[in-house]
Amino acid sequence: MIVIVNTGIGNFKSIQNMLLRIGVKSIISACSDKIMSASKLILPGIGSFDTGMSELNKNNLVDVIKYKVLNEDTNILGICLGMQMLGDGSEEGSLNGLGLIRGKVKKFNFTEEFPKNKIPHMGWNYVSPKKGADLFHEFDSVPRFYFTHSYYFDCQDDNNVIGSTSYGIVFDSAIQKKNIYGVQFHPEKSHRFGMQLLKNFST
Amino acid sequence: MHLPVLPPRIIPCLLLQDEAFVKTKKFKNPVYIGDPINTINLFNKFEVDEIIVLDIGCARKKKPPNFSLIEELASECWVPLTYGGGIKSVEDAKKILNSGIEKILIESLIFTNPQEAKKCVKEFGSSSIVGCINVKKNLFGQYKIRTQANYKRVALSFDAILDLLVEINVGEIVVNSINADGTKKGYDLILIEQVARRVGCPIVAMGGASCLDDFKYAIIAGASAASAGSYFVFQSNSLASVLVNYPSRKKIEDLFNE
Repeated sequence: MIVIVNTGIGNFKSIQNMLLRIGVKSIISACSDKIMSASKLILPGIGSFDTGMSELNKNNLVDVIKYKVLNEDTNILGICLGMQMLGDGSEEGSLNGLGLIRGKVKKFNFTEEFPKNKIPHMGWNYVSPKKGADLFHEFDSVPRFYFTHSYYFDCQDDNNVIGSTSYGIVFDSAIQKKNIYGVQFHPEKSHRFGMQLLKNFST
Repeated sequence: MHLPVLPPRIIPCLLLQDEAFVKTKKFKNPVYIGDPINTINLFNKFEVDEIIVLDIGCARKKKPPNFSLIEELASECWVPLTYGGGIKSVEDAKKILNSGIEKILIESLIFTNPQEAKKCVKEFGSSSIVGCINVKKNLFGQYKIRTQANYKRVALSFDAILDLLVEINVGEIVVNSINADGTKKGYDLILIEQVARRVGCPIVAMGGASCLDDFKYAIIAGASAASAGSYFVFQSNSLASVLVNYPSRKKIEDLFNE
């Protein structure tokens, strides 16, 4: 069973609903036993970086998630703040991330060169997938997804980037390192595109 | 890398009253539009960019949000959903966000309890909190803000209210014109421009859209997205016959690529 990690506040209910649409059952939990027995993990989250990390720390989930992902090779998908928490840390806070994919979360900083780009980046945008990335399997056209964020993941190793999006700058909107996946956008609210992506992850 | 530029968001706004969707004109005379779940499903099929649901009954009758209905709507909707109406505290906001709503919209709270509004932003991040102002133009052409809850004028000046929204640090601001609401006479573009000049966050234009071009005008005036009610629920040229509709992807793309 897929376990959606309960990070206190967030989009886990929408994720569970979208999984149901594709016939995949899941549970929402912050309990380490449940997480240990998961077939796959989804790490959602909204709000600030430190709020999200303290929630994981409070429930002693950091080591559990790391063990599952690194020792048992369980697939994990970080969504939005969940993706950012996969990295080393964020300009938004002072706590350490999970450190599963090397990279730092940075704040959009637009100079007058891009006066049109408002912060947060809110709305639909294209994601240009890396060729052969299994998360983007079977997309007929360039997929578009729903974004809402002020911070973005800056991957240290370009090989870990599987999707790019342009918003003033070109930033890493989807990342992967072996069994570890992260997307900045919200597949659970990106109708048919999100549905296909979650299908790709869960099957 | 060259990716095409996406057109701005075009957002249907649906008004909830006593568990039914209604549409008002200048904030009065609600007309029945349809059952919420059915209506959301119709918009799902159109693959709309986003949906805003405002419970006007909640605000006006000072009732708490209808949490079970909100959860039902959220589970039915497969595009981002913003909910507003009757949110008084961080706890209310948390309950709503946890039920699968992407963004909460606050309006009266901005004026009655700005500290709590700030707490919401701190807790859930700017991108989850939408501010909303309902603006009425008086006989002298001045903009005054009124709240849904008591329809009373807010004492602060227009600019002071915009500054308050910036201080609260909401992720975006819905600018709704009461004079234009339900009239299909076009957006108040001067109002949109005035707000856009003062705030840095995205603005959503609301009130008066009558045709596709109006969406474009709103964007040119400085909005990042355009929202409408009547346009999406009534037949064209009508303010009475219900017909849920949404422009095709191609029409929207052509509109902004001209």
